[in-house]
Amino acid sequence: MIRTVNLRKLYTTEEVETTALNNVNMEVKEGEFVAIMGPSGCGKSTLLNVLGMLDNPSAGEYHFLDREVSKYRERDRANLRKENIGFVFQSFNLIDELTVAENIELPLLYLGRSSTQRKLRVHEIMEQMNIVPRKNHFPQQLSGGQQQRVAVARAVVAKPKLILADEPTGNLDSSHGEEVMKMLTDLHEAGTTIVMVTHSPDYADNAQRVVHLFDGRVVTENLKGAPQA
Amino acid sequence: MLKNYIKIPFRSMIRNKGYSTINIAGLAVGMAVCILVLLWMQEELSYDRFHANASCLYRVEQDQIVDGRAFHVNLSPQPMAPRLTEEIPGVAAASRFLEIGEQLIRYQDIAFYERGARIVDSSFLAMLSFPLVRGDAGSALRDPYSLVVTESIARKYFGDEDALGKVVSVNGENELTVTGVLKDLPDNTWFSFDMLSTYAYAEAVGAADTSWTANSVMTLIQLGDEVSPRVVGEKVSELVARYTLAAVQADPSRSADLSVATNQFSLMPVTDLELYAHFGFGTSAGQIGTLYSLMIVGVLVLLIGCMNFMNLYTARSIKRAREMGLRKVLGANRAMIVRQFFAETIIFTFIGMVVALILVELVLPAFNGLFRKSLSLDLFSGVDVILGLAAVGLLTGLIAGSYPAILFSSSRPGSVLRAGWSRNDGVPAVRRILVVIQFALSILLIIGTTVIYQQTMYMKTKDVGYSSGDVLIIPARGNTSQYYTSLKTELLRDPRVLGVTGSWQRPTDNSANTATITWDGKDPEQVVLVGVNAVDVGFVEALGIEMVEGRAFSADFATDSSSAFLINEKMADVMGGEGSLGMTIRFPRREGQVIGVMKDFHRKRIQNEIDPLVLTVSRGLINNIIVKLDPTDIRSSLDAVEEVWETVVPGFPFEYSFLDRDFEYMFRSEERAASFLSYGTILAILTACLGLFGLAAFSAEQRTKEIGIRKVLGSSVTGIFRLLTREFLVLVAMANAIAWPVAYYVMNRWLQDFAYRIEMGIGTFVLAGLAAMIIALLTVSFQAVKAARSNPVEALKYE
Repeated sequence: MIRTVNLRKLYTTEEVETTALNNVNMEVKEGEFVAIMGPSGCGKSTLLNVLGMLDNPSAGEYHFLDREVSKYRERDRANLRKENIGFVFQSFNLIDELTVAENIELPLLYLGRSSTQRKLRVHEIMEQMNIVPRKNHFPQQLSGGQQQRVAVARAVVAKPKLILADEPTGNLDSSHGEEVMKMLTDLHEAGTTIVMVTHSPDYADNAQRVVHLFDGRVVTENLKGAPQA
Repeated sequence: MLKNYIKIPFRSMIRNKGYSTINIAGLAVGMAVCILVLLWMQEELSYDRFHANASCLYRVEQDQIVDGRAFHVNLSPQPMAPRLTEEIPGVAAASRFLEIGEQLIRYQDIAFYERGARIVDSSFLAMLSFPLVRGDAGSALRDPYSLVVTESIARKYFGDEDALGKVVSVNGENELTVTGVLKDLPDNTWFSFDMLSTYAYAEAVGAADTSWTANSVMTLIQLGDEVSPRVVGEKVSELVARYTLAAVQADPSRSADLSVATNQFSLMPVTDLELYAHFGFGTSAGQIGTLYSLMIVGVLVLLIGCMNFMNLYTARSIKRAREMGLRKVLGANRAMIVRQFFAETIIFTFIGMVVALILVELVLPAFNGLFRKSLSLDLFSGVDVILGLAAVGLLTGLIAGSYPAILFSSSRPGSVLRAGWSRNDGVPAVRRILVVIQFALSILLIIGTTVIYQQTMYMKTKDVGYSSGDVLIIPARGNTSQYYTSLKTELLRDPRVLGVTGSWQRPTDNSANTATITWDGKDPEQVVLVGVNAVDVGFVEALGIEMVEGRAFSADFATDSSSAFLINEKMADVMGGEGSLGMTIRFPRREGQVIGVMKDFHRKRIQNEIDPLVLTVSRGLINNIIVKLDPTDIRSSLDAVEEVWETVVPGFPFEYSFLDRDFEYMFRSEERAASFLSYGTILAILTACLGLFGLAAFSAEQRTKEIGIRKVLGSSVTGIFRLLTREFLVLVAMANAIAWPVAYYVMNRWLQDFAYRIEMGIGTFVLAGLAAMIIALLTVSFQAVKAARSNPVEALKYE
C-alpha cells in the first residue's frame, strides 16, 4: 500500500537548512499495523505528514496505492486523501464550534455524501464507539479520553483504508490510552491498515512491526516478537 | 454543507461576544453611512424623472467667451422660445420660464408677497407633468390674464372654496383669474414655483423684452422622439446668430452686439438640472459636488469597517488556521475553504446590515433635519432599494471576506497543525498595513475637514470691503420704489438712522454684466465684461466702502446723477491703471466722467474673483432700499425704520434683511460639505479605533506568555506598557507619512476653486497627526495597561 524510495524532506529557513527525512525507504502492506518510534525531533511526524500527503517530500518517490504521488498537486492529493486516509492526532484537533456528531460528520460532508447517508453512518459509528449520549456535546465539555474517542470516530467514519495516528495516546492517562489502543487494534483486526507514531514501547507492542527513526533515517525495523537489535 | 458553514460563525460569534460586537459594529456603521448616501443619491437621481416626457425635455444653455473668459449661461433671449418651435424641426414644444420676483397678491382682504410666481408659455403645463386637480393642462394658460396656482396657495387665499374662477389682484395693478389648481410640487423636482401666469400677460403689462442680445429667461424645450439634442443645439446657435445679425443691420449703432453671434448653444436634460445646474455666470450650484463628497465619505467609512473586519478576523488566525488545516486534512479543498469564509463574512455582513438598517431608521430624522432633506427608508417601496441594499451587503462581504479567505485557504495543512500559525507567515505585516491604511484615511478626513472649515471661516471673516452687520436691505416691491424719496427724507429725520441709499441690484448679488461699454483709448477689439449697478447718492458711505482716489457721489454736484461714474480698482486696471480718474466712459444710453475709484469689494459669491465694476447714479432704477442703522442700538433703530415704513408706504408689509445674512447664504454649500465631512470623519475615526482596540486586545492576548516572562525577569509595568503601545504608534506615524502628501494634493486641488483662499499650514497636518496619535494611544492604552498589570503566574500557567 505504501512504498517510499529515498524519501527526503528539507526545511529551509533564512539561517539554517534542516534535514527532517534523509533517504527514508519503507514499505507498509495492506492490513499491516506499523509503529514508528524514535526520539523527539527525529522526523516521525514529518514522515507521517508526508505519508498522509499533508506535505510533499523534497525528493524521492512516494507510492501510495501503486501511484507515484510525490509530485501530485494539492487538489489531487486532497482527493486521494479524503477517500483513503483517516487521521488521529495527539492533540485531538476537534473543532470547538461543532458538536461531537458534527465533528464526526465532517469527512462525510467533504466526500459529498447525502444527508441521510451521513446521519446513518455517524450514528452507526457513535454506537460502535459508545459516544451516542455525548452526540450533542461540544469538545470542551468532554474529557481527554472522550475527545480522542470522538477523534478516532471521525478518522474512521469514512471507512478509510489507512489510518495515520500521531501519538494518539500522548495526551491521555494510561487507562484512556489503553482504551484508544484497543480501538486501534480492533480496527486493525477488522482489516484497516494502521501507521502509528508513538513514544511508548508498550503501545508499540500492539503493532506487527516497529520502525525506528533517528535523525531522519530508518535505523532498524523489527517484526513483532523478533529479538531487539 | 451550507448548514455547516453557517453553524460555525454563529457559535463562535456567541462565544466571542466582544470581538463579534466590534466586528459587526464596524461593518454596520460603514453600511449605515453607505445606505444614507444611497438614499440621498436615489433622491437626487429621481429629480424630474417623473415627467411623462422626461427623456425629451431640455433647457437651452449657452457658452460665451468674453475677454478670454468662458461663461456658461443658462438664460436665453426672450423672443427665442416661439421661434424654436416654428423654425427648428424636431422641437415639439417650447416654453419660457421667467422669475419675476415678489408679487403682492391680494384676494379680498387677504394679501401676501409671493416669491413663487413665474411667467411661462401656455405649453408649459403640457410639456411637464405637474398634475392639475382643477382645470385643464391644455387650456388653463391660454388666456393672457389667467393664473394657475398650487393647492397650498389656493387654500391660503380661498380656504375651502373652489379656487377656479376667483379673481386676484397683482401688485394692486392687474387682475388675474384662477384657471387651474396644481397639486403641490413634489420634493424631487428642480422646479420651484407656486403660481404661473402667462407670457402674454408679461407682454400686456410691458414686462417682456424683445431683445436678442439680453439673456433674461430660461427656455425649456421638448424634442420629438429620436431628435439629437446636439444637432438642435447647433441649429439654435445658427438661429440666434441670424436674428442678432438682422437686429444689428436694422440698427447699426448696436454693432457691439455682434459678439453674441458667436455664442454656442446646447441643451441640458431637465433630469440633470438638480445635479449639474449651472447658475447664471459660470458657477455651478448643482448638487453633484455635495454628492461626490458624500460618496467619498461613505466609501471611506465602509472601507475602514471592512478593514476592521479583515484585521480582527485574521488576528484570530492561530485558531482559525488550525481549523482550516484540519478541514483540509479531513478532505476540504481550497475552494471549499474559500466558500466557507465568504459564507461566514456574508453572515456577519447580514447581521451588520440589520443593525445598519436600525441605525439608519434611528438617525434619519436627525439627518433630515440637519441637511434639510426628507429621505425615508422604505424597504418595500421598490426593487431599487432592495437591490441597493443587496449591493452594499454583497460588496461589503466580498471586500471583508477576501483577505481572510485567501490567507487561510492557502495554508498548508501539515505545517499548520504541527506548529500552529507561525508569526513570520506574513499575517502581521498585512495586518499592520491595514491599520496604517485605516489611520491614513482617518487622518486624510481630519485634514480635509479642517481645511474646509478654515477656508469657510476665512471667507466669512475676510474683509469684504464694506460693513454689513448694521446695514438693512428693504426690497422695494411692486410700486413701492415710488415712495423712495419721501421714505428717505422721513427716515433721515431719525438720529438712529445713519444713512439711507438705494441700489438697482442687491450689493451682494450684483450679477448684471455688460460688454457694451467703451472708454477713451479703449482698444475697439477688446471685449470686457463689466459689472454695472445703479445706486443712489450715499451708497459708498452707507456701506463703508473705502475710496482710493477721487470722491464718492454727492448731492452737491448736479452732474453726478446724470453723467458721473465710480469704478473699482479692477476696472481702473482694465482701463489702464493710473489716470483713469476723469476719463470718459460710454454706455449706449449714458456717458460721463469717472469721478472716483473705490477699493475693490465683493459683490458676488466671495469664492469668485472680484470683477470690474462701474456704478452710476439712477434713482429711477432703485429696487433695494439700503438703510444704515446705529450699530449700538440695532433693535430700536429697526423699530424706528418699521414705524416710518408703515406711515409712508401703506398697504405693503415691512420686510427686510440684513446684509450679513446674505453673506451667510453665500457659504451654505461649503458649510454643508464641511458638516458632512466632520460627521463622516468622526464615524471613520470611531470605526478605526474600534478595530485598533480589538487588535490591541489580540496583540496583548497573543503575547501573554511573553509579557509573563518579561515580568518574571523584572520588567516594570511601564516597560510592558511601552512595549505594547510602541508598535501601534509606529503604525500611526506611518499613516501620517502617507496621509500628509495625499491630503496636501487633494485639498490644494479643492482650494483652487476659490479665488481667495487660505494657505495650508504645516500646523493643520501636525495637529491632525497628533490627534490621530493621541486617539490611537488612548485606544491601545486600555489593553496595554490591562496586560501590563496582569499577574505573570497566571499567564505562564497555561503554557
